[in-house]
Amino acid sequence: IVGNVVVVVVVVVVVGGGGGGGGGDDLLAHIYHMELNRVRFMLRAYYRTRLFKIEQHVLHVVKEAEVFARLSPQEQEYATNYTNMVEEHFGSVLGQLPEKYTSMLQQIEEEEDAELDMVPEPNLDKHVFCRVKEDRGNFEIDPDDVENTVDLAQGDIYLVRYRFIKALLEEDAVELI
Amino acid sequence: RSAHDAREAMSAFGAKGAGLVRDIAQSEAGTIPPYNDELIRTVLDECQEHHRSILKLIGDIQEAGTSLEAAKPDDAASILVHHQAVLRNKRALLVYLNERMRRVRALRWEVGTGLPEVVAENLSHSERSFFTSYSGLVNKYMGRRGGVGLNLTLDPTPPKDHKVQVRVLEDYGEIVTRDGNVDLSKNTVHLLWRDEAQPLITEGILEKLDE
Repeated sequence: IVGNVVVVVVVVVVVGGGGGGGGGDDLLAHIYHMELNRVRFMLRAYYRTRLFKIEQHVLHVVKEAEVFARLSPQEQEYATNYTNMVEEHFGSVLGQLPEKYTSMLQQIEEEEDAELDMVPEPNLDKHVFCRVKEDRGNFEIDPDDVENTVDLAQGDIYLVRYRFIKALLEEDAVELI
Repeated sequence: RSAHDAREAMSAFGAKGAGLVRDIAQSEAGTIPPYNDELIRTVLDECQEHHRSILKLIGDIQEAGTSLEAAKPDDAASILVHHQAVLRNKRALLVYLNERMRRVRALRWEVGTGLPEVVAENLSHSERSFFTSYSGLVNKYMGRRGGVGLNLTLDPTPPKDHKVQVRVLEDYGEIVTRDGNVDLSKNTVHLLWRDEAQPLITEGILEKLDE
């Protein structure tokens, strides 16, 4: 997505630059300029939001390969370095706890492969509003409740647990609102 | 240690930890209160105390010849309570550190790379190091080499107008803008290009006037 947006910015800049040349094109230049600012804002907000989300759950992001793969190379570097910084900072205090309690990943040190119980994960059970983008007919919403299907018609709006529509969202069959 | 002291200490389990959490929870959002080194020390010491108690209890059990699994319920309960006390304190410490760290990060985004003296005074040594490293990390990400090449601290809100009306809060002298020179004397009002005014607004030199 970012690649496309950057291309758009370049186009607007070029056209805007050209437009500013002619005196009678002031209004056009003005509009192009506004558009450029808007696009730049979107880009900045997009990057910022991703960074904040990474920071919120950095340990989870770094440890789950599937999630880490969704990051750009720069974001991956950011996440890794950020993790180290956090580890160092917390470590300065946690290191003074009794041995076995010093980890920031586990409450108390257990055997290998024990669950890292102090790593926060995004809450997939939060309810979200979503709109259906394409007809999906009878859809099995809850894997634990096989009989309960919902007829997803385009334009429908639902309030549902994120977990249940996660796959649909990835297929772009629904959008969050 | 007398039984009375022990009883008093027992009822205070987690109190200091709670105090730490209160310290940061009751502080005004957006500010960073002075690093409570003393309270942190106390909580850490408390944890070591609990740990010593655990080790002593375990030692006593082993000395009596029993295995840990077969220990008396009272002893097992005591060990568990001390253990949970350490975990609770650990959580309190992390809540304190984490929330402060979040505010330190916000500083980079709202204020920039320069840490004001009044703020730096309130941070621990480790927090100051963290700010410097974090600042560098953000800079690298925004930079052209190895980064996205876009200053992400600009445009915190969607741009509404091309130009903004601003009032000058303190004498700043003359500045050069796309439209020519502008004399920023205190209390004058000007119509400036948004991107030229934004840094000065962030710095506090100019005040944006809403419609």
